[in-house]
Amino acid sequence: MRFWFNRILLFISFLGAFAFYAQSNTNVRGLANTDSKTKKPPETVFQKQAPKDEVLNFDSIKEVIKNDNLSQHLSKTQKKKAEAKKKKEAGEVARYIIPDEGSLYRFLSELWIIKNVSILKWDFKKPDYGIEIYFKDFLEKIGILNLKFKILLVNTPMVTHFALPSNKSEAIFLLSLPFIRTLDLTKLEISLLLLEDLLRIEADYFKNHLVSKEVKALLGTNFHNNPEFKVDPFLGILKKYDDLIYEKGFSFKQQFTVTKKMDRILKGNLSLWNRYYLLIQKIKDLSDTNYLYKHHVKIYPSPELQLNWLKPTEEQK
Amino acid sequence: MTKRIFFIISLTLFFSCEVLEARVMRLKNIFGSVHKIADESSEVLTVIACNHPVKLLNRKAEIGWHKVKVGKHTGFMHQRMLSRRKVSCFQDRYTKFFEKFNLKVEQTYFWGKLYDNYLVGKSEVSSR
Repeated sequence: MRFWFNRILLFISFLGAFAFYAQSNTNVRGLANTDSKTKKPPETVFQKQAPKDEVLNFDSIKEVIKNDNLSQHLSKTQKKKAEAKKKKEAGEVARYIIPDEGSLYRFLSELWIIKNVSILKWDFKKPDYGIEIYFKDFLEKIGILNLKFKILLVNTPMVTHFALPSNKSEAIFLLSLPFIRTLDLTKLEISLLLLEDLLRIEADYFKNHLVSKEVKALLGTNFHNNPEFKVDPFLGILKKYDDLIYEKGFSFKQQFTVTKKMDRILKGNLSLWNRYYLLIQKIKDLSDTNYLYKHHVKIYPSPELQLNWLKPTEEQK
Repeated sequence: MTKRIFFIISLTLFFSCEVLEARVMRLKNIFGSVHKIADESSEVLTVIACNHPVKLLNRKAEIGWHKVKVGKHTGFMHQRMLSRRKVSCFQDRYTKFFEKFNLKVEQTYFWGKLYDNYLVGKSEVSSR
């Protein structure tokens, strides 16, 4: 009985509190309504001090502003704005940078590949020979590490094998599928050819042929203040690619240096050295007999001499 | 208060599920092609530029390919071409220089295809 009495008492007190709260709220709302309808909003401090027609004298409140650190805040904001503007301008200028030697060659080599797609015919479905996996192991075996490589199989005898310059610790190889098939090259023989190409790239034979003094002076500079800047010298480099890859090739001296370096690298492993020797013999026979590969001797002179350079001298014997 | 907490928890759960379901990756190369099927020689649906975000539809790549959604196209891209982070692209670093070459549409198409055709590798110390 007492329990129910308590409950009812609690309920009544709750109702009472609720009614009181509701009443006080309506009063407040009512007051607010009457205020907004009848009374004008109270005047601000500044309105009280300065009549409407009078111009506000900022000198009189200078001291107040000073005390409020407003002038410091203003100078801080202005400094920040100036810094942001400077940063934005620097960013805009940075957009006009010409790449340096380290990042230019991959772009140019790939651009040359794109422009020569009709000659090189690299966009075709190719079998998975696993050349890249074998070549990776081969490089690691002979101690050439941390080299990124990209091999592009081309469906033409025009370019048999070639390494194009790229960024640092990177090489792009072109490899002719008809050439591999005609010579029936093994993965080891292909790797030896690619290694030979890599040595040419490392010796900078290609880069030295490409870059003129004019281009060298431009590398890494900014053409923001030169609205008449044109990429013609760089397009000229692409013509030099054509010249070297299709026409000129490498000199006897360069070939001698590369062959001798191959000799030194492979001498430690006689089976590899023998394969290299036989490979050059194969290439010599092909260029002697097959009309399609006659130009190979012009690009890589000459297999016959290479064989002579590789042969041990009387003293070595 | 309880309602608010409940609301925040459900919102977080919703967004985390969304992130798990569709991870976003970015293109690493200058250009890249989105293929109709997981094959280099299949039809190219679209070509995207470096750092373009792609939505991953399968979290694990199947035989080196990711199923992706790029704009209105759903296709496949080589796993090796995508990066989880924003990359430093040639055309972003040398914007004006790159623009000066005025690449044609067919050149961007072939540039995208070039990366499909490369056989890539890297000689390393660890794998010996």
